[in-house]
Amino acid sequence: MTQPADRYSRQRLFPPIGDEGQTRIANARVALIGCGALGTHIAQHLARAGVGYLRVVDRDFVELDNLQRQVLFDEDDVREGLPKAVAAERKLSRINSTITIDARVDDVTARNIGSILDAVDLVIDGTDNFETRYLLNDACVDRKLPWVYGGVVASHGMVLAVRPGQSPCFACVIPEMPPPGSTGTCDTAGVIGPAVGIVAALEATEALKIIVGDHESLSDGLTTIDPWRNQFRTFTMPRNPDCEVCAKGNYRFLRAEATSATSVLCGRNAVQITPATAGSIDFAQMEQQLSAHGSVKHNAYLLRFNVDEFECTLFPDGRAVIKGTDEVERARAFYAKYIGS
Amino acid sequence: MATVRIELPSLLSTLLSGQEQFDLSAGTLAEALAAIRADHPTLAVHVFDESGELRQHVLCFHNDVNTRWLNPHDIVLTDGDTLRFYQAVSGG
Repeated sequence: MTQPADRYSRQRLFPPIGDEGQTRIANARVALIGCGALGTHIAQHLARAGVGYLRVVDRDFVELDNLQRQVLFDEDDVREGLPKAVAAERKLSRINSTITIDARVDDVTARNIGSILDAVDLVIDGTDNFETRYLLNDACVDRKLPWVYGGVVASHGMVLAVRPGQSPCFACVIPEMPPPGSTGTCDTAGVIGPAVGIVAALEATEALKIIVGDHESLSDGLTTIDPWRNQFRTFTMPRNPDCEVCAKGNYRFLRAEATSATSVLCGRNAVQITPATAGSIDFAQMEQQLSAHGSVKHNAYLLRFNVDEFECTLFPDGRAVIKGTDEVERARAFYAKYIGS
Repeated sequence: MATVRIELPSLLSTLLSGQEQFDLSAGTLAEALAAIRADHPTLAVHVFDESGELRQHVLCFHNDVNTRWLNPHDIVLTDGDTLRFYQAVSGG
């Protein structure tokens, strides 16, 4: 086994890190929330960099259509039906056996966010939905934990490093959660791997700056990228002095007041999801977006979408009944994937 | 009146048949937003709420300045200015 001193030699040579920075990286405790497209790239960056403790949290399992962009997974993981957190742990342990990987197969909610973020110094966003991000923002601002937001759809992405009390929080930038169906998801608008890689690299870079304490080098705002259109911009973002979260301490998602409601419909093998923010869904547009994935039809009152073993009945305000499972986590994952929240 | 450039991210440009940018004439940001509402209704429904305000998950930058907490009537536009719109990005 190669000694750690050799393993990180190129990184130590980089002056902003050096020996002291490498020691800080080795002592860092990081939670990565979500291990899909962004998450696998980020996990790989952080594990190779030598982050000493990496908690990888994900509620989903590996599927064939993940492999185009989720770099830690392969066809064996699909055949085994492995949870993403477990498959990631196996790969990351082979990439760097000197660090601790703590895999957790879990759906991050207000109920368990305390244990998910327990004893970590930094949180990195690899999620695929807004509800979890607003929850992370509430929890991290409340605990004064830095966290890094990243999102990507199609060829367009965004990154924001949040340092509670020192930089704008996620709610300063996006005050309210978009209504369901109002923004594209990777499953409705598509996504290209290189854009994922760029956003993940930016997130991981901001994470390393925070870990080594080089706060002066952190981006002072929101970075947007679109490599397909050759665009890369950073917008300086001031804190909102009236921000409900970081100025007023109104943690609606942490108190579970603003989160979506889910209920298992007994005897129907179905779960009902009522989004936190009522929407006004354009069924014609939604049918167009979903038609590549399965059969879709709608009338003035509801849209019905069948894919794999699921049947989703969607109402104009965003409420959905997802038939084919009685597991809340699977239904929430389905909703985030196809409807967006 | 100034001629300003409107730039849209890829997801919003699909609402204008892939048109990623266009020019319009306006003296202030408020006038520019009103022109978008009037001339591009399919885009406007995604950018503005029922009261005509920018949706909370939509960002509008005047050149590189976030206009979220500024009065659009106070933002005077000059020739060559750019208004860039972004939606919060959910995927990951």
